[in-house]
Order: sequence, then C-alpha cells, then structure tokens
Amino acid sequence: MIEALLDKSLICLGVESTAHTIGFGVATSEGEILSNELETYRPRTGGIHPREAAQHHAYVAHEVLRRAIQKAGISVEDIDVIAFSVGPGLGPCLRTGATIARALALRLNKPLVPVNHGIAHIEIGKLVSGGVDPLVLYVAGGNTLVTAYHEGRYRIFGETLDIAAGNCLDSFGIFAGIGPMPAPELEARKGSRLYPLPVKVKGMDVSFSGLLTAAEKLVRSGVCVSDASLSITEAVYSMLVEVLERALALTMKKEVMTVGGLARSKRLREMIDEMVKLHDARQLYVKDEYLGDNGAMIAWAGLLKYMHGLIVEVSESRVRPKLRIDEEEAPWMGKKNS
Amino acid sequence: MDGQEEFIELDVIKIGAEAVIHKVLWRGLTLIAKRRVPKPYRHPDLDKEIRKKRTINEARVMHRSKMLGVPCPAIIHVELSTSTIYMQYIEGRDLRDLLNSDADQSLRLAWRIGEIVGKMHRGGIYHGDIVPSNIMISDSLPVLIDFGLSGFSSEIEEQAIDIHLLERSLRANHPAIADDFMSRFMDGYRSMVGEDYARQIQERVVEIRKRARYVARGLRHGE
Repeated sequence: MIEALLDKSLICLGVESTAHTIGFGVATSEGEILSNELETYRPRTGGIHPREAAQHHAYVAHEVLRRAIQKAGISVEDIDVIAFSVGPGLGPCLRTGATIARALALRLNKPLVPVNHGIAHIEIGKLVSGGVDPLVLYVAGGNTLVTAYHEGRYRIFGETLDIAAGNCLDSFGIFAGIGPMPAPELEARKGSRLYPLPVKVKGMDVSFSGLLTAAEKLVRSGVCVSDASLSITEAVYSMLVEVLERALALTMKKEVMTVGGLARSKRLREMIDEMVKLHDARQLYVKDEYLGDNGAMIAWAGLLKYMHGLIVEVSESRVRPKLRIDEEEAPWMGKKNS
Repeated sequence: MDGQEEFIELDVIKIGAEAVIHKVLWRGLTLIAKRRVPKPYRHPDLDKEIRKKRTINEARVMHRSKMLGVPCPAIIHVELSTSTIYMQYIEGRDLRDLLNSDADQSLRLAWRIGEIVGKMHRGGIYHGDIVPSNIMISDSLPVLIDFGLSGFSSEIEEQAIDIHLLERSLRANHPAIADDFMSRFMDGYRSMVGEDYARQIQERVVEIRKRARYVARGLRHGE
C-alpha cells in the first residue's frame, strides 16, 4: 500500500450528509478538487426536520453523485478511496450518507474512511487558502467553537455553552419575520442605533441563548427590526472575535481562519481583520464554496486520513452524531508545535 | 479622588487579551493600574458598554471579596472614563514560581489556599480563573489576583469550575504533587463550606472533567 501511495496520485470520493446538505466531491492526493456537487434541503417553514432531510438526501443522492463523477471527468473505477462524514450531525442524515458510502465501498471493493465533519471543514479551508497551522473559528448553524492544532490533535479552546451562533441569528431572523441568515446581517446594515444586549463571555466560551431572548424582547417592545438586527449581530460577532482573540493571545498562532456557514458574514470577517492586526497574525480567506457543508472537504480530509492508514471496516462504520473535533488524532499535521 | 494626574504611570508589566497592566506611582506608593483597552473591531457603543460593565463588575467583586476577608488587592480608585482600576500592588511571587522552586512550601500553603477559596465561594463569589499564576504569595501568605473573569454566583457549576481549573492546571504542570496539593486544598476548602457542599462540588468537578468542555483551558497555563 505504501509504495502505491508514493507512486500514484490517489482519487477519493467524499460523501457529506451531516445536516441539510447532501454533497459528493472528488479530490486527489495532490490536493486538487476535481468536483464538488451538492443539494440542500430547504424546509418550507421552520428548521430542519432530520427525517425529512434524510429522505431528501436519499431521493437526490444518485443524481448529485452522477454529477460529481461526471464533472470530475473520471469513471467510478478510478476512485481509490471512499470517505464519508461520520459525525457530528443529525443521525438520520448521517446514516443516509454512510449507507451510500458503504454500498460504494463494497461494490467497488475500495477502502472506506470515516471523516470527522469539523476536521474536514478545517482541512479544506487550509487547502484552498494556503494555511498551514491556523487558529480556527468554526461557526455554523449547529457548531460554534474555537480550535487549533496542539499536541497531536485539534483542541477545543472555547465553544458555546448553549446554542450555536448561527442558530442564534437564524432564530432571531425567523422571529423578527425577515428569515434566517443572511437576512439579519443585511437588515443590520440599515440599522443606526445599537441597543445593549447581554454579552456573555466566560473565559473562551460563549453563551447566546440569553442574548437571543433579549433581542426578541427588543423586537416585541417595538424597536425597529434593523436596529435590533444591528444590535444582535454586533453582539454575536464581537463575542466570537473576543474569544478568538483570547485564544490567539494564548496559542500565538500566526494565522486565523473562519469556516462554517456563518464564515460567509462580511462583517465578521471585517472584525477579524481588525483583531488580527493587533496580534501580528493574518486572516486566511476561504472561498464561499468551501465554507458551508460540502463533499469535497470530506474527500480531502478522507485522503489525509487514508494516507495515514486510518480506514474502517464496513461492519465497524457506524455514524457518530455526537463526535467531537478533539476526539481523534490528526497525524498528518506531523510533529509541528507539539 | 482629585484626578488622573496624581497617578504617575511606570512600566507595563503585562499585556493581556483584554487589559494592559501598568505599575503606577501614587503619593509615593506603588500601585497597579489595570486598563481595559478599546477594541477596534467592536462597534464603539458596544465597546464602551462592555468595558464599563466589566470594570464595574471586577471592582465590585474585589471589594466584596475584601469585605468577606478574602485576601486580594485593595482597590484604590476606579476610573470609568478609561475603564481603569487602580489597586494595591502585591509584592512577592506567584504560586506557579513557588511550585517550581519549593514544592514543600507550596504544599504547606495548600490548606490555607483552600480555606480562602472556600471563604470566597461561601460568600457567593467565583473567581473564574483560579490557576497558580493568579495566586500570589506575599509574606508567606496567599493573595488572589486577577478577578477579570469573576462574578457573583452561588451556583455549584461556577464554583466547581474554579476548583476544576486549579486541579487541571496542577495536574498538567506539577503532576508529582497535584494529588497531595488538592487533598490539602480540599481540607481547607471543606473547613469553610462544610462537608456536604464540598462533596457536591467534588462530584460536579468530576462531571465537568468528563464533559471535556473545559479541558483545553489547562493549556493556558500549560506551556
């Protein structure tokens, strides 16, 4: 196996299905992304219903897969490794993707690699932005954490004590009648007055539920939605940047990267730019296409793991909805700063 | 207080993520000035609000701790316009130094430190960042410093985090004496909060450790 690794570029198909997105991506061991196709389940009202999302994924999967293979310009026989998102995420959604990945691995007789969804976000971000060893803010609808590589694995320096930052802003937008992100951020640009909201930072952890309640109260009391949007987005982002700054002062990393759906926020990036200036660090920019959930990130992280022999038997490949980012080693990071 | 001109700023002794700490001279006395600096990335209104609130909180907690008999720097002056707290300068070295140089002496102080933390908790205050570098040893007596993350709460969770952070830091950096230190510490702590409460705290510490949520914090002082 090792000789093959050295000789030949490997091709990996990645399957992503943690939440509302089903994605297939093809990457090579040289770090080329050959394709990155996805479909997103959009509920007509409210949030994601896990079972409905899973049904959506099962329904569109073959079509998305076909597109990913076609756009990559390969045939299924060219695939060397199958990777899938093993967690964290919604159980029914994860199982849908995992089932497809297992079937492909068995059918094509190829090794199967379970990929930690959070680590995949980080690794694809590094790949496309040229980052080496960044401090990472991972902010999305379901995740909020500050992490960096330290002594063999990605360590969590801070995280939310209750709801995720994206969830907080989405819920606010839906409550205020403007819809989920990016609506609150766009609405905030029209705001002019900032109302004080409870900013809760504890060490490097953050808490958003009290803030959400207080912002909803503002709207209910008649404060205009644009001012309330300005107040909540500024509060959420400044909490995130503050804990990021604390972690930066501690880890003394030279790069800062934000990944996850909320990383698309212009205002958040702008604030991080201001913050990194104070610490002699730089911000890495990840293209929007690779910020949200996608299959290419699973393919790339799958290859990193595969090249360190980290594969799984199909019979052992159950999904892990509550998997944490610090639960596994990241041997591809080498001995750097350990 | 007559105004700012009374304070003569001397050298910067620490630049943290949130505040800059200077030595200052005031009427012939050496003091510490802890200044929360504006953050350019925050909306200016929010920035002002946050710095003001936290400065008031820190000063209130320290004042209350002093009244409870918890040894900590005395507050001399609070200047809200610059979010600065002027406080007593504590001579001596911190427990981290002492642990490295004189383990026996550190162990002899563990009971007393536990008693102080117990007194603080009993009074409804948590420190938020109890690690050896925030415990000064002055004239052979412990003094708690840096109340930047502290608050008023009698909730077991907040108080157990205090104990957890100390234990975690000791285990990471002084593994040989961590158990001995913590057992003496808990004896002193128990003498203040009582058998029952101390047990509840210890159970919660185990739970927090399992959650792993706070584990990475040990790195702060773990270099």
